Amino acid sequence: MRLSSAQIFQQGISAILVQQSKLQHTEQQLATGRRMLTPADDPVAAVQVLSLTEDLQLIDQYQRNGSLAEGQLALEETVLADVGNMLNRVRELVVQANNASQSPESRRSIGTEIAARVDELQALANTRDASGEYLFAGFQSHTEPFSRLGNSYSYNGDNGQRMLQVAGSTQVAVRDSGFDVFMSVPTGNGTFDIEPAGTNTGTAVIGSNSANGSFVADSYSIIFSQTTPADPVTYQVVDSSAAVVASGNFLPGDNIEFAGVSVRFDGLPENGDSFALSPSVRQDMFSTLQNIVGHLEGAGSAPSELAALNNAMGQALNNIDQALGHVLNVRADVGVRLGHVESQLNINDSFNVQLQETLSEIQDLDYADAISRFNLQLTTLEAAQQAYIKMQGLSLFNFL
Amino acid sequence: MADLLNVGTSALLSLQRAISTTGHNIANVNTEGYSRQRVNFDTLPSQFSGGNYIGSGVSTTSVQRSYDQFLTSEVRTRTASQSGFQAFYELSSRLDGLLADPAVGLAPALDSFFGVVQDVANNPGSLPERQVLLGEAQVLADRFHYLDGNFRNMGDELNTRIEGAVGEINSLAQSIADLNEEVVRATARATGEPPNDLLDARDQLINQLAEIIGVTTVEQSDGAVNVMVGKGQSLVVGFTAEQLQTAVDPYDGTQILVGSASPAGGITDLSRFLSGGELGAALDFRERMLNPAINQLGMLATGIAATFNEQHQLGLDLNSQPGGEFFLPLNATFVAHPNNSGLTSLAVDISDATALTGDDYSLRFGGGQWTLTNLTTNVTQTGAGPFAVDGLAINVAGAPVDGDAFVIQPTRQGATLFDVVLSRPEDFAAAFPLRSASELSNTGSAQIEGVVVTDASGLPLAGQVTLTFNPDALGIGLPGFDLTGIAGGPLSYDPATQSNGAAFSLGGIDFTVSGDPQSGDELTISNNTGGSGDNRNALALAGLQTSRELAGGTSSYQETYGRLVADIAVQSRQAETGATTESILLEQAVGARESVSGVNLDEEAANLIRFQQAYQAAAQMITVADQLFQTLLNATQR
Repeated sequence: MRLSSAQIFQQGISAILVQQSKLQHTEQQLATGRRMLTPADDPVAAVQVLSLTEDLQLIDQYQRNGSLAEGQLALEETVLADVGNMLNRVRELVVQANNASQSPESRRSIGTEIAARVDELQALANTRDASGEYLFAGFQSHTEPFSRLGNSYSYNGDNGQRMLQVAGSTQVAVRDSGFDVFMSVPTGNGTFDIEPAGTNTGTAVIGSNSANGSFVADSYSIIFSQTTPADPVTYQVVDSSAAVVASGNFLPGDNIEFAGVSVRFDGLPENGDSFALSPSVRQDMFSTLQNIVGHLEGAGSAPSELAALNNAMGQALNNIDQALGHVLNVRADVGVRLGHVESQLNINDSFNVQLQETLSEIQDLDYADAISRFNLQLTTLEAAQQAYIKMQGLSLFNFL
Repeated sequence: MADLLNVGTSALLSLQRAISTTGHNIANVNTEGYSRQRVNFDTLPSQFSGGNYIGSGVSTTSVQRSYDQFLTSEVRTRTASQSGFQAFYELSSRLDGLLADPAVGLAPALDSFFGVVQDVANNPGSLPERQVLLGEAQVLADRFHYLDGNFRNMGDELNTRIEGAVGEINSLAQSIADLNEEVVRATARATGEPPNDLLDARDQLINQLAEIIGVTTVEQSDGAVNVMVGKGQSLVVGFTAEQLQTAVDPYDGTQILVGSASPAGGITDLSRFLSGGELGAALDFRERMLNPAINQLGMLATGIAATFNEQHQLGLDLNSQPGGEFFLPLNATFVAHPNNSGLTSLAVDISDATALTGDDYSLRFGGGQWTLTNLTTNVTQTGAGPFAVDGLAINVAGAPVDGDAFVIQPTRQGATLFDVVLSRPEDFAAAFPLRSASELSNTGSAQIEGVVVTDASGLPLAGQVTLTFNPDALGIGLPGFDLTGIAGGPLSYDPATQSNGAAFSLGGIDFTVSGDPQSGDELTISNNTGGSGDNRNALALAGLQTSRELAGGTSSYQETYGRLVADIAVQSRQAETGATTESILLEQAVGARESVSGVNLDEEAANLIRFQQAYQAAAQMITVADQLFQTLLNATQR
């Protein structure tokens, strides 16, 4: 084919320009370390990079949320441990107060110590976290959850529970409401609760009691009678509709059993003494402790007064055990959540590494490849330049 | 002798012309569009003398340019498409480059904004986090404005380019018409001999025109060339040049249309018909890439504003007030054609921002009914209205006249207008408006959870809503909850089968009940007054980042943005490939033409030697004739 001189020149130049622009692209890649300089270099990868970067940012955020959750759960755990220790101390004091060797005065002084413990419990229940929020106020974290008026305590928070996002589809509760922790404690043995009538004059004391089989929930009265001192003591159990559920003769230490209940009574009831048995309800720890204080302060030395105290202390021990069990449950739950957060943090970490790897594979430059390409392109450009010079040197006019 | 002298003279004259034509070729070796010329020699008619025909020398019949009509028009076509692709590629790669830097795109702004929403969720009662949230929201808005502003700057620049291109087309058209006149005159003067250099100049001008706009040409018998653009719109006819004009788009004041003067006044829009060259590329780029990109970005902005606001308004702020608008609510924009003569009013509302597509629509009245056309897919619907399409509710009212038209650009302004309206950090609604509780006196284990508001119109509650368990709520042996404080009958709930949880929905409030209640147990729902530690709405808002909210529930915010980036990247890549291919094709076409028309200096050098030698020989002929004559004179001199 015939070539024109202008074309020879033009083609030489454009070959050099093409090589230069390739070289510049590689040089840019080397300088930035990025395989893709603009999304057009690889549209699919560009979109993948966007979504991977978003995922990485989310994981970063989840890690931050997770650390925060860890801190909050650990704080709650500590407070709950303190509450447990405090309840154990009160339990010891109650056992001590229940001891026959105590005098009314010593009981009153034990009462005073327990009263101090109630204040301690209130302080624990009103714990704030680092940002000044009350731990146990539910959603109303800027309202002091537990306040005292006279001898009664009230809860000013709500049942809300704060969740934190620790993974794409995982939320973890980082708080428990004061209602769940301090208010909602079952009374008695968890199934039912027995209380002596205030008018009892005998020395009957409630002994071990438990639900035996399936408890038929109702309010029962256990009424003892002994018409004359020569008669045997008898008992009668009536339900809420005054129907007799069980009856029989009673000797101290006997178990009375009815409707799934088994309860032992020690000591001797007087004629007309009665005990009310009702299904467990939920009661707050403050009332439980405050009741103990009340009973200890009003302790007397008459046998019937002692029996009443024993009954009250027995009931209190039941309630404290319920509270301890309840706190332990909550603590166990917090522990489970803490474990969950920790394992999620680990999962996030390894996911993070994996995503980083993928991202790097997609967007980062393979330096070995790029450098050898760069050298090749450099050689090609030099060759094109030299070829151009040689071509331009050729002319018939040189020989004229 | 006289004959020999004549033969020699004719040779000298002809060869002189040949040498000067070779010189002309050498001189124009770098002249663009020049076709090499050569001299055609012809023997002069021989004389019959003494029974023989004696040759009488040479003459030049014509100076001809080496030219191939087909190759030239191939170059012209390739020039138009190459310069079109090249211009398109340059424009699209700039758009692509805008989104290239990961630090300035929308993605990081979206990421940090939602990151801070989570930070607020972590500490909902704290003002500093909320303040940062407002800051990040502003950054997001700024990023929208930055991208949108850059897109629109490109639009402005396109307008300037289009006006420049039209000016250049008009001046080239005038020059071509002028050259037509000169070519016709020169051809007539030279009795049919072609005015080579004028023809080259005209071809060159047409080629320059092809760089700006794709053209077709028709050669006339008198030597003039008619030039057409677009779909047969004549630009040059004989000696006259038509003028293209520009005008502001009646539907979009920010863009310029190209057209020709319409007999009725105003201009006839030709934008859709013009293709090829820089002008075609600019119009095409605006239509296929820039406007869709602005629309898509606007759709994302509108979608974020609507969906985020919707959730935000279901929440409760730090002062226990219902959440207001977080972002400025964005509505669809539309334009009425200035020539509308009917008294029509149009109302376009975004009824569902999650169903928006980013397409534009036209609404035209004719034949007694409206026709709504999606300008991207060309799907139409007709009728008297109202129309519902892709998340839009379009209402027409009044007395339309045939020809009345509107263009609806639902999301064109979205990114421009996107803004944060929440100004006080405490107004961010991180909490849910309701909370639930089970009463302390309950003896059963029933729990109420997951209280979610789906419709805030009934809030705040006038008082507490109480669900009281009643084993015979719905009749003897049909257990359920009696309700107080809210309308609605007893809720059926059978602990025997539903203790794992049953979902209920009451007047825009959803909740779940689980567990085993005893008769008389109460569950309550009440206003979440003072719930400064509640982060449920903040979590729901943070969840919007990854849930698929847009494009009919198929695409998250980030994915929608990713689609925009991918669309631009793919088109930019296609344009690059196209431009490379077209460059090669153009190079080949030019090579083919050059192989016929181009000047090769070596060839010219050879010609120069050839003609020089012939010239020297012819000069020798004169000497020989002279000597012959002298010989004769000497012989007869006595």
